[in-house]
Amino acid sequence: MSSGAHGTVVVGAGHGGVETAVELRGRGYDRPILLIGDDPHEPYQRPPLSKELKADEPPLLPLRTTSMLKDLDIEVWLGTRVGRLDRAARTVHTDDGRTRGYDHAVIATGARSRPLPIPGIELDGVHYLRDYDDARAIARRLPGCRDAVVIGAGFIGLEFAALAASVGVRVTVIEAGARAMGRAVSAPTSAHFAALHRAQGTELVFDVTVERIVDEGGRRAVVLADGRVARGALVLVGVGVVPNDEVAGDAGLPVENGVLVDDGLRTVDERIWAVGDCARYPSPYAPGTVRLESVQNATGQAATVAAAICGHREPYRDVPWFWSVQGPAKLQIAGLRHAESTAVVRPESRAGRLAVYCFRGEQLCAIETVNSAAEHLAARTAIERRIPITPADVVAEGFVLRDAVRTHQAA
Amino acid sequence: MVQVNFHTPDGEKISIDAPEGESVMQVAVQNGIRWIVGECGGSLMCATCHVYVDPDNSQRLGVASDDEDEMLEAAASPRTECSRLSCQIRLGEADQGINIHLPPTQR
Repeated sequence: MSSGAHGTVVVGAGHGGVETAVELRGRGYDRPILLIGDDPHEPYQRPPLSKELKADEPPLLPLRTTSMLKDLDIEVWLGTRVGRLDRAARTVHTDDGRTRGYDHAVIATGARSRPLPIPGIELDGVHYLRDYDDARAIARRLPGCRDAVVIGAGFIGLEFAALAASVGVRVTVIEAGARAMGRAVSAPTSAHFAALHRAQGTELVFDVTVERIVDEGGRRAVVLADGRVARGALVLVGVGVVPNDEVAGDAGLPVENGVLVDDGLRTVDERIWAVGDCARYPSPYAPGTVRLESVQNATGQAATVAAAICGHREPYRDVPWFWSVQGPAKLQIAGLRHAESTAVVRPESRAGRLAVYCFRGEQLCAIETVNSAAEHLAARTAIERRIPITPADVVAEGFVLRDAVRTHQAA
Repeated sequence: MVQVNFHTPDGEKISIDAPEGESVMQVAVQNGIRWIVGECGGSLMCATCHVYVDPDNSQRLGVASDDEDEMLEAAASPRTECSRLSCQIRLGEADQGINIHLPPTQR
C-alpha cells in the first residue's frame, strides 16, 4: 500500500470515536478513515443503558445509521480489538491479525468498569454496567427480581437503583465513602439525592466496604466489612471505571490514569491524539490535568481533534457538563468542582429543585442543579465567560442566574 | 415509514424516510443533519435540538411540557411560536411529510 492511502485510523467506536470520524468528513477530509471498535454491536448511545433499563430487551440506539457511515465512506471494523500501535512504522495491529497504516491515529478507547477484587465477584447474578451486553444481561434478570444490592453510590449505581426501585425492586446501596456521588458532587447535592432514594424505599449504607459475595441457593449475599449482610437476587457493581490506556502506554506514549495529551488533545507523538474517557488533558476550568467521563466531553474533543487533523489546531475549551437522571430528579452539573471547593445553596422554594454553586476561593467553578434546566444552561455560560458571581450574590433575594449572565453580557 | 422534510438555514430541503416512533432528533442525528446536535441524547437536558415546526404540521404536536418550555427559553437561536425541541416530537402516521425548519445555530 502506498503511504498516500493511509488516512486516519480511529481506535474505539464509542461516542468520541464515531464523532471524530463523522466530523472529519464534515470538514471535507478526503483521506481514508477506518473506525475500529471492540464492541460487536453497531456504534450506540451509551447513556440510555443506565437510564432506560426497563424493557427486558433494552433498545440499541445507534449513534449514526450504518448507511450514513457507509455513505461517508467510513470503514468500520466492529468486534475488533487493537492490540498494538507501532509508532515507528505508523501502523495499528488488531488481535485478529489485521494491520493498517495511518497518517493520524486517534485513541478513543474509552474506559472499562473498575473491577472489584473480592471473592464471589464472578458469581452468576453479579453484574457490571458499561456496555450494551451488560445492560441486556441486567434487563433480562430484572423481571421477577424482588431485591437487589448495588455496590457503589456513584452515577451508575444510583441511576440503576432508581430504575429498579421504580419497578418495585427493593434496593440496598453499599458505599465505601461517606455520601452519595461523593467524588462528583457537593455535599448538599449528595444529601438531596440520598433523601430522594430513601423516599423511594431504597436503603443507603455509607462508610463500609464489601468483603465478599456468597451464593445462598440462587440469591446473593453481600457480606460487609462490619459483618452485616445485604441480600439480593441481583448485585450491581458500580465502583468507577479504569481508562483503556494500555494501547497508548505499550506504544511508549505517556499515560497517567489516562493518555496524556496537550491542550489541543495531541499526545507527545504529533500524529497521535486521544479523546473522551481515556484522555487526560489540561482543562482551563481546573488546576492540573483532568480525565472526564461524559458524552459531551467525548464529542466536543472529537470535534477539536477532527479540526486539528484538518489543519485547524486550537485548544479544547468547552465547559464540561454532566447529567444524571435518578427517578424524578434530573441532575446537571456545569464546570468542574474541586474537592476543597465551598458549596453555596441558592435559596429555592419550588419543590424538587436544587441549585448549588461551588466556589474555588472566590472563583465560581461549578454549578449543580436539579430539575432546573434553564439555570443549568445559564451556568455553562457563566462559567465559560468567568462571569463574576460571588457567594453573596447567590443567596441574595431575587437572584436569577440568567439575568446576571445577561446583565454582564450586555455590559 | 414517515417522511420528514428538513429545511436547512440556507434553503436546502433534505427528505428522510424514518420509522414511526422515532423522534425527529434521533432521525436527524443518525442521518447526519448537522444543524441538530442532540447533545443529551433526548433527555430534555440541553436544548441543542431546537427546531421550527411548520405551522401546518404543528397542531398535532400539542403544547410543550413545562420542562421543554423552560429549555426552549434558553435555546441558542431565537424562540418563536413554532419552536420545539425535536427530541420531544415522536413521529406518527399523522406526521407524514412534516416540515422541519432548522435554526442557524444550537450553541
